[in-house]
Amino acid sequence: MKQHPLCSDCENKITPMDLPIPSGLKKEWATCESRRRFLGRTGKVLGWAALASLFGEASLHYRAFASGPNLQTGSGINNLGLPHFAPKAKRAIYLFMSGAPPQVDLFDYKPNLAAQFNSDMPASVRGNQQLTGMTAGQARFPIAPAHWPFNQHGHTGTWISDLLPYTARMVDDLTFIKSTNTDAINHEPAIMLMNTGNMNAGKPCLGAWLAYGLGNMNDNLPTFVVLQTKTNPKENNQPVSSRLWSSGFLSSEFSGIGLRSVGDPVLYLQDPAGVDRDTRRRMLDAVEEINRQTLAEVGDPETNSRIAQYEMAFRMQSSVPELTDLSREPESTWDLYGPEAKEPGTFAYNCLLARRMAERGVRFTQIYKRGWDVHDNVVGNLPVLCQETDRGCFALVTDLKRRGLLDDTLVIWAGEFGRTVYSQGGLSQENYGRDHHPRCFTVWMAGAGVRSGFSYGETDEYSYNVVKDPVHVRDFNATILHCLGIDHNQFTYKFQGLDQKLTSPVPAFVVQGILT
Amino acid sequence: MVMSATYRQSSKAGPQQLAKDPRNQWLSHGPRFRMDAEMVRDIALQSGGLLVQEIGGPSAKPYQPPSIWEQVSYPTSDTVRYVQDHGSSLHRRSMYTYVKRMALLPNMDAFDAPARDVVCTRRQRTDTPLQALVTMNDVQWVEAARALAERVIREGGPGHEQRIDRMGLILLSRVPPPPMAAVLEKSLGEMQKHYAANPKDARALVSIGEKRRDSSIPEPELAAWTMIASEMLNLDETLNK
Amino acid sequence: MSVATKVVSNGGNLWQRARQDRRAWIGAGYATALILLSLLFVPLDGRPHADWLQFLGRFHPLLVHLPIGLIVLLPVLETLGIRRPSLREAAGHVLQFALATCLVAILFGLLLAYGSGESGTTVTFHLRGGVLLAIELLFCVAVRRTWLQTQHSRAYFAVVAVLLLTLTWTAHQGGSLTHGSDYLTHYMPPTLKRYVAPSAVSSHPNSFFAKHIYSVLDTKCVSCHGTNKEQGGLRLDSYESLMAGGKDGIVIAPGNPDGSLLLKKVTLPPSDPHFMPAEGRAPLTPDEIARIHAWVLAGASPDAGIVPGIFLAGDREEAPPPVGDYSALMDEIQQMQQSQGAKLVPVSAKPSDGLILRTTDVAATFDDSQLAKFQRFAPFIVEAELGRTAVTDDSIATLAQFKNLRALHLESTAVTGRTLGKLSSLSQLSYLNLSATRVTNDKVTPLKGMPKLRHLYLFNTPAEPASADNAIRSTQ
Repeated sequence: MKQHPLCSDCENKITPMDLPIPSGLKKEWATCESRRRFLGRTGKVLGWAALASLFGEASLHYRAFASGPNLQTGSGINNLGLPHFAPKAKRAIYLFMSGAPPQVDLFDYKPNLAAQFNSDMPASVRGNQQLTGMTAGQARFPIAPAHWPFNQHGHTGTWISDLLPYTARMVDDLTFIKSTNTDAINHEPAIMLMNTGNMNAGKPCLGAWLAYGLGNMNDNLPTFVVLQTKTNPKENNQPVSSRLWSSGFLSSEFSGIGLRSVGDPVLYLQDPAGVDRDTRRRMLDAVEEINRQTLAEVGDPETNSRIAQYEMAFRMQSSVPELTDLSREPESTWDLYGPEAKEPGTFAYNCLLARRMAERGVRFTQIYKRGWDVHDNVVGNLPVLCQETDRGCFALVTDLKRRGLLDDTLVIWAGEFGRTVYSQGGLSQENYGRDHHPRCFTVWMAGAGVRSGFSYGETDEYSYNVVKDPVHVRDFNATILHCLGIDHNQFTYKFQGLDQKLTSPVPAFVVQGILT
Repeated sequence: MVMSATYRQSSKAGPQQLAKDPRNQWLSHGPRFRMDAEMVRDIALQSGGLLVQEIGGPSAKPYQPPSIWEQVSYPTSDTVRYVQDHGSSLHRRSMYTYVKRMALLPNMDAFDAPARDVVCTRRQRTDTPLQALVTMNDVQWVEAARALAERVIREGGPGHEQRIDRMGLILLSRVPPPPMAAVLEKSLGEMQKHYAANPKDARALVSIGEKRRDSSIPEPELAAWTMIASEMLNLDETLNK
Repeated sequence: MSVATKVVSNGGNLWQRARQDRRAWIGAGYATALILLSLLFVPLDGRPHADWLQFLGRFHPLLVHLPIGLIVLLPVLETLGIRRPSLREAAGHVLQFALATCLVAILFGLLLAYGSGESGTTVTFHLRGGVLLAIELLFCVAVRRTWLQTQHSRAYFAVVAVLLLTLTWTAHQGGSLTHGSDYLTHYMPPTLKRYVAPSAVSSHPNSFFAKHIYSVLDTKCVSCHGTNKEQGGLRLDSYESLMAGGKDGIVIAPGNPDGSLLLKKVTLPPSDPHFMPAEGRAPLTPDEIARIHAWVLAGASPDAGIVPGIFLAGDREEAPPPVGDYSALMDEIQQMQQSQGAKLVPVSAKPSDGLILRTTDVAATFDDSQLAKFQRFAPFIVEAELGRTAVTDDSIATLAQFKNLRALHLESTAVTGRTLGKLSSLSQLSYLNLSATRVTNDKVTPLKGMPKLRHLYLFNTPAEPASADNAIRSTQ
């Protein structure tokens, strides 16, 4: 039986002396040999593997930290050679609609379906797709056409549902991708795939990759910010987890920092009661002075880094409240976003914050809006969801555009998959439900790097299968990276023996058709 | 291992060593790295005498900012709301803290505690401003600083130098060298002046945390020493092994 | 003898006698010539007539190949016939046959022209050419025998050469009528195309009309609605004639695509008799129709550079020129990166993409004097982020030295616009953000002539355009 090459029992007799490890360690190993025997042979194989992986990681963690004390300051030039080419967009804002919005009701116009109300969807359309446990047992798959009419808008004559009057006003600025598709049919793996490029946990998310690769534009604010929208208890709120903005195997300084709507905008930001800014400054001065003494004595470069981080924390204590202080916004802002935007935690508020962050050089902002999982009562829930988000999306894009920020900002709107054309549960003229649907869904993008007033990809007459120009989630992520000047194939990080990248080992291709 | 010459090297690194071996891959000097998240918290608690030595028992739920769990949970989940413990459970060893993988305790997360959804053979050791914010502003640390201040006032005797020495011995295992002591003394003077002039601030500061404060110590004094303790808890030397 | 054979033999005798009666032939020849000459001047009224005329007339393109083939054969036989008498004799018959078929072709051609009502210079030329060809053929028939036998044989060959030239020209006109005047040159390799005169597009070659509308019309419409033919009196080969319209009125109503006859006709069901392009020509694609629709909706301008909502691959901006190599200054730039002052950030890993001057961290204290310190990096700076800084109008003079500057951010600064005119020397400047400053309209005017400045932002300034959602100007 072929033994593991690192197993000391195999014929090749590989010993630690043959490994590419420092000679000092080899000597240590020799003296510790007896102790190792004492530890027992069962631990050996695992120990070898762990040892090898530790060294692998140790030598490569160095790469993650690049040159100099840290990556939070002095961004731009890095050892990674990024951006690979001149980017169109410097920053991105990702509006994530968790739960999966129904494309048939919102964007994918299928007028032929009206005549097919309640007819069974032909089995040939579905093919051998494995449905979710929620609808696999249904006797029928009655077609549920969109309950609300569609109309054409803009110079491009784009068809869009009446549920989205504000989005309709900006269709000339958007690129729709109607042929997006994914592999996962349930939320958690799908949302992981969308954000991290992999259905399994442990990989870094898009924002972490960008923070790692492109760094910061503003040293006083976080590079990657996550905004959660307050949940509406009447909606079916699928969970999200901190995995979605985690840095995975990349350094944890690249994970998303939540900007909260309750209490401190950033956790632990505010000084405790009884400590004012002046006192805090004095305290930090003392700490810094002592740290400098330590640095002089011991010579550890990490000390330098720590000094810088404390300074950054102090600056954040004033820059973040400035970011969230909306008192000096002109009236035109409230006219655009609506009065909801004054209330922290709403989607409109988060959009406004996203614009402010774009102005201040935050590299990547991600806003989560939960509740789109309309398995039933589409007629009741969908209008509310649209009303909660429509104006905010329009306001954000318009605000960025009129301030000249849309020229170098990429705005993305996406869910994790689509919804079925057939009704989940009962279908009536008044109501219906929709189940998960991975084979096709619609996303849109606006801003730097993508065309305006454009639609890419087509689905079949049932909005069930993609018939033209499919865009897998991997391709979608590759395109986002491309707009920001990154070649997704070259942007890798060695971990567990693989050159890991956001778009996973499966080949992915940038969607050239939507790029400017 | 701990008896080996390599391990017993000093962690001082000269410029030549740094140039050739900046990450200490070749073990040219003693290892020096920031402690794990749990150790950082445990040291803060233990220095103030707060750490509960009890072994085993149910998980503890210490201080946490509001609405961390609600933001991620399924609405009908039984962990949608975080109900904080009181009393001694707030000061148990960090390894007993209840873990919800989808929403880690933020102060542990800041110090690279793993999320426990993949195997972790080695933790990261990052330096971020969030860590600074945690050790400066988290209730846990402010309370621990106050407890430490109370301890040195009790144990260190009446004089400043002795108290500072006591604090150094507790946290750094050594008496602070003269340059460090000088900085701390100067800072102490400033803090004392400030809190003497602002008794309301002093009261607010020493009331943080559920552990009742030692009422025999005057508030301005305690507040000033709390700030010094906080300074020492934030030192690079304290946080590093 | 039976009646049939009697008729045939009598007819044959008659024919023999007629053939020998030269005067009859000469008379017939002169009569034909006169008719033909008159045809040169007959006008065509440009209106279609009875269907049977058109039916018969459509055999003209079929029949016309006979005289063409025969006339081409003629010089071959004549040349070969110098040695072989049998071929010479054949040439004579070929000539006569060519004349006969030519006359028939002309007749049918007249039916076609009159029946379909086509008019235009090409139709006229083709008709005249055909008539001329027939007259020449007649002449050839008349003089052939005598000239060949005498020393005038060279003159005869000269006439045959003229015949060939006339044929070529006439046939080309005919081909242009059916296939369009650029049929032969359409796919010509570019190296040769240079010698063929290109068709004049319009006075604004970079306009949306010239680049995207005219090409559609030229390919699909001008063969029937152009210089060669003017169906319905409508010409679509220039902006003026497009807007002028034809016999049915104007075809483009600016701002009103639904009221534009051209769009109506191209969006009819293909089976409709009024569907355009007519006669089985390739219909316009939905993309092309959408373009025309959007262009008309936006006002049908002859010189506007862009139409809102329409983006086409050809609109990609040309890549800006590379800015040279700043590698020698790398150490300084690295230092700036690490420090907490203003930074110089590379656009990408390629030095030729340039540097960005980023002042976010020190915006409050970054003023004109600090900006002046960056002059040594001026050739490499392609973007200056000076939003929210303390720079004033005096900074513009420094910025005017940044010759490769493509984007300039001056939002929320104290700039009043007094010195903005100095920026007009920056030939690469395409983005200028003056939002939330106090610039007024008159200060911004000198910039509007800059060729590449397509993104000028004046949000929240006195100079902001009145229209609610259009703070973006494109200068074309």
